[in-house]
Amino acid sequence: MSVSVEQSASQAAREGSWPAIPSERTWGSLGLFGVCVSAAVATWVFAIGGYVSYYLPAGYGTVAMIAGSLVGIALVVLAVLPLATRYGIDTIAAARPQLGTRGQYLGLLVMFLSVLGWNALLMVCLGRAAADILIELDVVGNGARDAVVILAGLGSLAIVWALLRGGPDVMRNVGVVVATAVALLSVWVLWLLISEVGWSTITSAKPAYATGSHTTDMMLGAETVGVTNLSWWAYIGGMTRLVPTARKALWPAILGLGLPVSLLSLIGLYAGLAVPDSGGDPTAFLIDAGGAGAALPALAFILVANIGTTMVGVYVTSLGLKQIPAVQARVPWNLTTALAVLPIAIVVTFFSGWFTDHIGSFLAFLGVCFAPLCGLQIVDYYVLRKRRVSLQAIFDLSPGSPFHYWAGLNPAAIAAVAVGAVVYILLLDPVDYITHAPFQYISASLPSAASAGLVYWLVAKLLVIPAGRGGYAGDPPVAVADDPDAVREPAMS
Amino acid sequence: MTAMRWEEDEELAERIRLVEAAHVPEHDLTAGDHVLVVLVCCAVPLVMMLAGILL
Repeated sequence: MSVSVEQSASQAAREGSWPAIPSERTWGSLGLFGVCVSAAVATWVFAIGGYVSYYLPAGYGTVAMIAGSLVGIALVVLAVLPLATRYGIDTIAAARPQLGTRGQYLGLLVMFLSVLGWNALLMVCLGRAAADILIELDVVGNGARDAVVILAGLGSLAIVWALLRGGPDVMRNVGVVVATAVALLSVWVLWLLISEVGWSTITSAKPAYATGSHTTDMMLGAETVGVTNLSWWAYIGGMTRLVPTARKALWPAILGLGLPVSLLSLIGLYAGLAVPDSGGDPTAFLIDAGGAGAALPALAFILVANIGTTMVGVYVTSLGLKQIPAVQARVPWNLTTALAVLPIAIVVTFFSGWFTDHIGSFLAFLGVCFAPLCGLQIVDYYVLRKRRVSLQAIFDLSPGSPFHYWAGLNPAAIAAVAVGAVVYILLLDPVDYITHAPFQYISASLPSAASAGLVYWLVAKLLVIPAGRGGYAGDPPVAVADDPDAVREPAMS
Repeated sequence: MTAMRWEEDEELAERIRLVEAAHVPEHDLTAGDHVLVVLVCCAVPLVMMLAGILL
């Protein structure tokens, strides 16, 4: 290949859907850890911790949140990371063997809506926090609140888009800076909170809405953080694909994505217990108690953390959009990131009030898809395929592809996601958080993932593999649809 | 590139060959890695939850 063709192909891989070759996979463990932390820490940690504070006091809440975060991130890591790091591919490409060549678009839709929803929420929260603090400090009047919310949100999105113009390497470098900044700022915010309200106040505070069953409360605390970490399914492939080996990516992903959510959510937990009306968000209280000295670090934390998270979200969404062949072939990287930013900008500008009133339930229902997806991917990769998946087959989108299944859809995956989602909702209503036995002993995410994995295995064994679909071991050669005389070898590497 | 086979795009085909040729099984997660993940992310949380519930 000529130099220009090589550069074009390299760009198509690093800023697109193609697999990245080893020389392009330049992220080390530290770089990945930084990006993971910058993605993990955002103002959602206040909401998560605040929610747990409804059910658990400080000590038990700390234990439950850390435990839940580790279980959630383990499912995501085992489902996506091995294939993403082996071939340098993102989450959607890594899910193609299970979801099918057309079913992948369902995965893309879930990813796009989830990341879009969360990012828009973060930008609205950022704008509102900026408005609150600027009004409190008399920098602007109350009449300018809406304008400040919109300007702060759009300005932050412009920063995100500008940063991503530099591609994944800029994101990696910025990620380390953001991770360091949010770590320092979060320690400062936590110290301010504890010094203002007193440690004994926090540890002696009682949860406002404890169910009366300590076991159920513990499981609710763990589930809240666990299901949040399952949302990293949408992110983790795009974040780890440029790390050269799975072993280099494993612990930075677990410790960078999983643990910070629970550790930083302690701010929300302690704030929620000390100031029950805060919902876990300490900024208003800190402004009242500490004035500008407390407000500015809080504002800096919110700005840096939310911009860092949105940057990674827009990046992985853009990679996902590149899985659409027309986007990969015709839309340049800067326009793709703009397409990922645009819906967030529209929400921030025109629908922020309506959006924040309604998005919670929508995101909760989307969230129940991630545990089944992880469960079926783990069973497919480890049990059915014995960790052998053909890269050629992943990028074969023709009707003759082993992953074309039936009309591009894998009935095993559809059945598994449906059953897993139903199991989740039967155990825990994701909107109202009403539990049903035996939730208090087994949670909702774990049985959801397990039941999805079992259904996937059953349908694959009874229907898919006997039909010679899916490229599993022992398949007969697959006829190529657009060339009836040709046959293709089974998709095993 | 709609509904194409990977062989039809020369750049993509070359890239797939390079990635497959460069794959080293030792770079994948080992059995030890998986055991460690299960210990840290399943056994430890289980013990934490049991301690939190029972103590």
